[in-house]
Amino acid sequence: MDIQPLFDQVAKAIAFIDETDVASLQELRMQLVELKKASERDGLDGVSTACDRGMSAIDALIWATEGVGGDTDEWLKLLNSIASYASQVLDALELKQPVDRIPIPEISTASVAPAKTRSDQPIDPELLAMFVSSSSDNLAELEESLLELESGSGDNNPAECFAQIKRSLHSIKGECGVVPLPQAQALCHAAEDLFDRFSELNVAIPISLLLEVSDCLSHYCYQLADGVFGEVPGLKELLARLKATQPDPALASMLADGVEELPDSLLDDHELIEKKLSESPLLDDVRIAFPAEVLADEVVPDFIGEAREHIESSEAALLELEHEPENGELINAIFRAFHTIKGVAGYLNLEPMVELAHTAETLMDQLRKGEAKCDKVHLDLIFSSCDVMSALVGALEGREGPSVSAHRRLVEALKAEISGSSQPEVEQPESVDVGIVCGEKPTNKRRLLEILISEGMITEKMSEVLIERQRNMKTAKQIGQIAIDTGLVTQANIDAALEIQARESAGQPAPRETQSAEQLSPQAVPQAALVPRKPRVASTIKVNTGRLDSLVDLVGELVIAQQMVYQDPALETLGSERLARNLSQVAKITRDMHEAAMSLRMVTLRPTFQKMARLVRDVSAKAGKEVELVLAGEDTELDRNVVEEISDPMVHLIRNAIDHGLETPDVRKAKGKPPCGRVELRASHQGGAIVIEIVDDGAGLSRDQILAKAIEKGVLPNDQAPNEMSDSQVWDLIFQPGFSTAAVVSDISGRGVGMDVVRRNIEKMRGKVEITSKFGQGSVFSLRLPLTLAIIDGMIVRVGSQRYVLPTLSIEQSFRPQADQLHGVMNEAEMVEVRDMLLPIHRLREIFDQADGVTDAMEGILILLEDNGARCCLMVDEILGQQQVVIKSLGQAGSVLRGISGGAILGDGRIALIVDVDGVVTRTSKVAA
Amino acid sequence: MTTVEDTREGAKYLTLRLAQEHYAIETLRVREIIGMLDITPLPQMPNYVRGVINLRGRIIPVIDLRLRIGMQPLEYGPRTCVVVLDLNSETEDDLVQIGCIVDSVSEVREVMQDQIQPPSTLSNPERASFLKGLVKIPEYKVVVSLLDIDTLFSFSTLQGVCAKLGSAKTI
Repeated sequence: MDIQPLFDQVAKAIAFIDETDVASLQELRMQLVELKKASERDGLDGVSTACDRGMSAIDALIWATEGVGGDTDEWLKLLNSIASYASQVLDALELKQPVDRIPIPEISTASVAPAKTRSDQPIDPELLAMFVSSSSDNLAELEESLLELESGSGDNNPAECFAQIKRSLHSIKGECGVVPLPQAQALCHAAEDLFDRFSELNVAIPISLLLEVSDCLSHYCYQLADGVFGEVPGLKELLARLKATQPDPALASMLADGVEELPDSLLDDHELIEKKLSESPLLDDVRIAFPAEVLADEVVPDFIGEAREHIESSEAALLELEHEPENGELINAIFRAFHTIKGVAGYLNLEPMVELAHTAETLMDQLRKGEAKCDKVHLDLIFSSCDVMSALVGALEGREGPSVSAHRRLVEALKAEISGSSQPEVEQPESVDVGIVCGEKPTNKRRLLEILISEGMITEKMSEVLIERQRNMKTAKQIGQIAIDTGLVTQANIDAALEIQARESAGQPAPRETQSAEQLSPQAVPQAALVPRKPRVASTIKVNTGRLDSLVDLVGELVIAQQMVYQDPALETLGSERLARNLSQVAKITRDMHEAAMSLRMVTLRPTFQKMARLVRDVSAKAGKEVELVLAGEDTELDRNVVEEISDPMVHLIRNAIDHGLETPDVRKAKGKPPCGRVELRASHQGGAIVIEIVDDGAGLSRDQILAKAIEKGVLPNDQAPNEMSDSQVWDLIFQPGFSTAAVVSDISGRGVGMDVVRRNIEKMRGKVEITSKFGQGSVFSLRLPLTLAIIDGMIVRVGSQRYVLPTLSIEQSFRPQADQLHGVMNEAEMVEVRDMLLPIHRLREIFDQADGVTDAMEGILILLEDNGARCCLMVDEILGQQQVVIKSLGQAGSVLRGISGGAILGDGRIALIVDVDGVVTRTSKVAA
Repeated sequence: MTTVEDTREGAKYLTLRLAQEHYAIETLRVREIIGMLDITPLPQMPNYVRGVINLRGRIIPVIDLRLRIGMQPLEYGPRTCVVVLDLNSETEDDLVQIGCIVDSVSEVREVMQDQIQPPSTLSNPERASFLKGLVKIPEYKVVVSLLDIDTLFSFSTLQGVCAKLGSAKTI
């Protein structure tokens, strides 16, 4: 359409505007969009900017009709000045005068306020929860990759780490945008910038700084999870440092030879767009919003869900595409997703969505047809398209949409990429830069210069000068025109070059050029190294843990109920074989279901181990020791609750291992050990339990020191001579609260709290801590943990009329004593000799004040229990069998009971108490001692 | 009018019997009434804590109200009931349930606020603290004691009892 009638139309519409009539405002907005398109076509970027501002004004007015924001007068004034600007431009065009001298109406800062009030909307708690959970995953991954990159160890090569770090940062940023959390987003963005600056030059990444970012973000996540909004802690300072940290300029300029304005040219265009965006803060706050009547359409809720799914699936496909850019199926998948969104958005008349989807789709169409090679620039653009699209979907849901300018810039960048995609990618960053400033199809122009260079008409240096000049002019002048103006070339030269350009862009790019492009490209280095691809991630679904727990509880009850039916004596009298068969079928399904339900709660130890890797890094730096951390078995699965509880004890043990265990490098050398200490974290299954071992090759525990300290503290069991104590008894002393052999209390450890915490936490989970240590050679701390907290393997025993459950884990042996094994000692504790040990006998009926049950040891069964190295024999009447039982809390009553850790509902529906072996063995042995 | 209505504010109470005495518990706090179930005794507990029962997969403690208020125990019969109550937990956010063994339950009746007399007239202050008040029921010519179940079944007092028991004894 010709531009002139459009100007008239807009001017007229503004003149007759009724700021309370949403429909007419919408219409004007459409007209502005038209005008903007036309002006871009004609290279009038001043007009295009004015149109944008006009649209912002209209948006603000529309919000004002909804009661959001206040000062409509300012916006109306702006619209009027746009109208007069339009007529001035029109006059200038008629007189063939340059239009760029006419001042573009500015948005006054006062009137930006309405948009801001809109952005103060409360954050959707569900989104926030999603953000917190997924970003903690991402942060963990980020940290892992950073550490891996630093140490150079691990399964992944550096390029893989690079990619992972970028992905993690990017996805966190993306999610920040969705919630929205602008501060965190800014931080991610700055970190991404920093990472890019360094990685593209192939210089060492400032890992510590990025780790700080990760810390800061995870701290923020915790805050958010606790419902504390507000400042990201330390954000400003960190941001400033991120921005200030630059790669060595000498190195940089060497690598990026001849490229001016280094940081800019190294940013990919997606970031460049954002950078530009941040430079025009006025437009930044104006958000895209959809009119209320569109939002009211009953299709919208479905569409939102659908669009979200499509965006998610495209993002997943994009991540894969990073590894296999040749995979057409993936591009197709993204294409389909955008196409579907476009279809529905078109039906709903959601202009910005259609526009974005359409341009992104066109780009992908080129990619899938093989007209362009899929590279990082494309991927980043599509990533940003996903981000903006998801923000647009957010706007549909009534949240804040993307800023108008971000949307516009992205669409422009996409368009630029589409028109230029048949060109070698090497010049992309530079040309898009120019393109954005000039609103011109950028790559063509660049291409023109290249042709001119290759034809020998100008030199490379000249072409750069030309670009620089065009950039400074900020006008819509064609680069060819500028070239002629400067007198470097003639009109004929340009025409010839244009002809070559037209010919080349019609056909495929010459293979030679593509190749050289790859060689030239600063991005080609990491790009090529990205080839080894990650295995596909199993698809997962995030479920609220509360729901999961209730499912597991229900299944537990089902198991009990099923057993109650199965063991019902009434069934025996029926004698029906069919019923018995069906019942065993039910039993089998119940068992399977139980297993499946339990497996739902299982998570790998990997994230926990990863956290420890981070800890090792920090602590070893603080302690001034070199430490090599070796992880093994991090894929071992454990109950979620156990994993949560285990982190604390592991932290203490690892700190101890590094601070007390490992010697300083000098001492190690003197001892003939390698200077770099070694800490191993191993996890494995060992018969129904998980064993986590923390192994160090340090000094080991010193028996003498521990004993000396124990005597000094008076915590030594007084009946035992120190030299008669077994090693494990001595090691046990270090679990005493306040026990520490450290001469100096450092800020890492030495207060003697740690080991007490370790034992307490592990025992709370019905686990055990075992120590083996060789003085001078190192120590092994083994944490033996149950697979799950909810179920134990138990031995059911009977005492009189009552039944009890003993955890099988603690049982070493059960036997009926012979007369010659029994010894009365001091008329008090009866002792039994078993396996060459003389052990005290405790009668369960006495411990639990039961009136019935056998008292004569010859008539009962003795069960040899072991707990933390202490042993005793427990006397019961009879062993009834072994079975898995679901542990039920006794509630408040349970907390005051000693020797009982809970209750279990047995097959007949009655309750058996679960014996707390620690309480019985350790406490009674102490009393006996 | 409104002031008059306010003073007539009432609540529903479940009345129950122990020997010849009448007691009442706010119905809002009563979860359900069940017959006697198998009780698994708990060690180290005061005698009035009879043990735990399996209430559809949940383990809840049961307390004999007779023993709690110092009466002689009575053999459990067909009319013996366990009144399952919701207690206000002192430590956990979770709902705490407890079973209360009574001789029998009688009826649900509405008691007006202005009918309730303070229990301060009782000579034993500890017993008085178990009660929220006394109500005269003219038609039966009886006095019903309104129980304060949160104090009566509070586990912190129970814990004190256990601590005393525990220290007196070595296991």
